Amino acid sequence: MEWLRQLPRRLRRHARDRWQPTAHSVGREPDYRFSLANERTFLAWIRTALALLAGGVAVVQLVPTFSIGWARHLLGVALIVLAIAIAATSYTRWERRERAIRLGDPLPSSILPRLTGLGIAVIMILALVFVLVDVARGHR
Amino acid sequence: MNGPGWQPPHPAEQLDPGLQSERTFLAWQRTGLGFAAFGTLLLRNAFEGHLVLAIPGLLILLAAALLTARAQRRYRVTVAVIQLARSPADHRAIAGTAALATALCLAGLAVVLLL
Repeated sequence: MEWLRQLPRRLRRHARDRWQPTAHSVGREPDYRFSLANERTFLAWIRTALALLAGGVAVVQLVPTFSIGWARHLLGVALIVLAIAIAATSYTRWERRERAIRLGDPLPSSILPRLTGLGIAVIMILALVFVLVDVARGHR
Repeated sequence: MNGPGWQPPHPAEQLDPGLQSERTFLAWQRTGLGFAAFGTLLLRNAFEGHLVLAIPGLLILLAAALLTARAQRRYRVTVAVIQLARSPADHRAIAGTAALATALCLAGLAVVLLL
């Protein structure tokens, strides 16, 4: 709810940000170590998305079926949706951080680590439930 | 050490003291390998009956090869740019990689839902 109440302000800020100059022209040339660290963090997120994506495809196409027919598809789609969320926001995240580094501002916060941790935990618990259901039913 | 015949190293061969550029280069390589691994997974599925997947699989392998080759070149550029005290940030490469990853994820969702 808190998030919903903040939405208008977020949208206004987003609209204002659109008119700001691109990140590589604001502020001053930063310490190269910060830029490279930001770049490596971006790449680590991309690799996380790729790993989730590969896991999602593999769980549907390589794992033998659970006794619940739609279980594999639920796990696969959930993994890939998480991967899409990470990949689709990765450039904006890099750009906001690069801007903050150049302006000497504090780094903007992100809900993505919390979202990713929560998402993976939920998917793992679902997988555990599906396996336990299989064991209980004596399904191979 | 600086005897006769000594020449200062080429600007692109003086590494930064924390080896940040090398770690970044390796991060790009790992990302390229990640793309290649997913391309291989698609190709494997292509051989098991879903022949449509051969096209995206090969395209991704090509993109992974380009990414890795570019990482090599970018490494030298980064080392040289650091010497000039300029920012090594390259928003085009970042945007391209992000777009490629997003397209791949959407393609993966289509594969899971349709095949």
